[in-house]
Amino acid sequence: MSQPDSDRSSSESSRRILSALADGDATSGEAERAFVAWREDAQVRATWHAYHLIGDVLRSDDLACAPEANEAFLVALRARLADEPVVLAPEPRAAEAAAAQPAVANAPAGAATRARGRWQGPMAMAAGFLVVIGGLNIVRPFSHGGNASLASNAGASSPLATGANDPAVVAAGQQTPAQTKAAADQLAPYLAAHRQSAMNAPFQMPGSDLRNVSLVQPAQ
Amino acid sequence: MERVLSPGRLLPSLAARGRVTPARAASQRQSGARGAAARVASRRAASLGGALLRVSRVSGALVCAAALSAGSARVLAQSLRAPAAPPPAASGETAGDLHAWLARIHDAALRSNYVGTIVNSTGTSVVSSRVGHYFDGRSTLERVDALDGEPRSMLRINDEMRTLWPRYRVAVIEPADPRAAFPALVSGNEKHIPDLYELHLQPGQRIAGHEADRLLLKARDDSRFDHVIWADHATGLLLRVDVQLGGRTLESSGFSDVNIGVKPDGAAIYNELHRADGYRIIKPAIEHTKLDAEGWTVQAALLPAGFQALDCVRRALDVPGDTAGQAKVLQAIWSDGITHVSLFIEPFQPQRHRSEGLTVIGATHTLTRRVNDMWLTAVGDVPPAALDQFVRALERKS
Repeated sequence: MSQPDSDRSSSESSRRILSALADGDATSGEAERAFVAWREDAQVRATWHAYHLIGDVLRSDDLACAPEANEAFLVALRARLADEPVVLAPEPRAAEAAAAQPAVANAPAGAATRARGRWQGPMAMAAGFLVVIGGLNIVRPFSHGGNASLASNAGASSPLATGANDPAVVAAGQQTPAQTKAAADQLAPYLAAHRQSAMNAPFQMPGSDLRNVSLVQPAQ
Repeated sequence: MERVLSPGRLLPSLAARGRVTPARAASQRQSGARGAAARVASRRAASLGGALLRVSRVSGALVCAAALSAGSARVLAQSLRAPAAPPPAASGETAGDLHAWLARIHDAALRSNYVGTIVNSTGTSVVSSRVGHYFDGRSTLERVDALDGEPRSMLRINDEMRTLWPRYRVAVIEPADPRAAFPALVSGNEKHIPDLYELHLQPGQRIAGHEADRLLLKARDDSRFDHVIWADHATGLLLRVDVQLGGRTLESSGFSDVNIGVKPDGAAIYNELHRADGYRIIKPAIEHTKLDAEGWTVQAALLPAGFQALDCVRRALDVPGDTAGQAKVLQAIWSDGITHVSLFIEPFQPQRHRSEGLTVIGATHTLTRRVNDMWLTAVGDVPPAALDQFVRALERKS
């Protein structure tokens, strides 16, 4: 009898921890234990899902869905993540990977996947930030965010750079949004000079030469 | 007005405003002598009437030229039975018609008085600016205020342009080169426009509250884009321009609203000028030169058809970013009469010249390429292949 009781109490406590985790109240130790339990115990995963389902349904009936839907989503997400190319960092050479992880050297395929896996998290995150930065630039085309950082990078003797660049830059090839923005900033003075060179061209609307101008104020 | 203009070192080169170069007067007369263009001149004379004949010191030559062409136009108009109001309604898409349209639009751009809002759209971005343009019989005054982003205004008094940055209290003054102001008319290659573009008159439309004539300038080869142009039916003022490729609009600029025929409001410009008293003045130095003299040649056979050399200048560009500073560049400019291409040449700097390739903003394409120890930047509202031709045509003189 004591065994089931202890089971019950342990599952009670794990549920309590899960509940706290779902509410964002769990301590780091509790969260650690919950993660281990989640990984090893299918019952805990089901409970975890149920808690979220309850929360979702409380918020809106439309959010109610079968566990399979979530499962399918997670599986698809993992598959997509695994397929994501790692652009910014080179893959470790096979030998290095093996040396770094002798414990899994007998499973080279797994090692390679894992080595890549280590990059995927941060890289996906970094990519996410790049997208967000790019998005910001587009939503706030003339904001000073990007340029302020440029100015601060350049130090005290630095010029004050105010970009008024057209953000609608589509760069051919494989430029990231940040690279594209940087390219557009670099090109702005050229575009302005180009536009000024034919101010009264037959079909140029007034003010087109004001579009890409930026002010780079030399230090006094 | 002279009194208002003269004081202060803010206005150093305004004394030269309205100086009519013989070249310009000649080109005006030249285009006026053509039958079709003369019809335009006659309409202009009719609408402006006596105002035009109030000859002033400054634009005397210009007005004379206009009056002269108007005179011959009347004679011509009687013999040709030219239509009284706006241009040929039928699709008489001859070279003469194209020239007449160009002259009419060009003329309206210079002499109309209007206030409006211009919206530029590149497909992924929309920016707008407020424009006031006045012609008081002597001077052309223009003020453009950017409505998006960093506040900046552009004031133009005849050929001189200044950009004011109120938040930074900086005025950038660029003395415009009269040659650059009228590329098509000065370079003389307006004659070739009909060889490069085919004019189609299309059914008129209503744009920004005005009945507009719609013209399609269809490129005859793939070295340039098509242009769809809407001009105010009554005055010829350009209301909207779309740059297209195969029927797809790459970029569109046009009025969202405009009042044509307003009273010239010079005060709007001069007051703004004086608001800028005490601003720090930056005058970018521009030095005219020749590609040849700078040690370069261009294989004309490799250039896209119809582009003729317009100008070549040495200038310093203010480069933003962490490698900020001034870049001394050589800028060579070609025009096909409708659009123009700039080729910037400068020594290659690894820390600054990092992205080789193509950047597209609306219809404006920019190609950057390293050639040996030089860095080339070709810019223009033309397809990338045409830019590539410019880059390839350039050679170091041995």
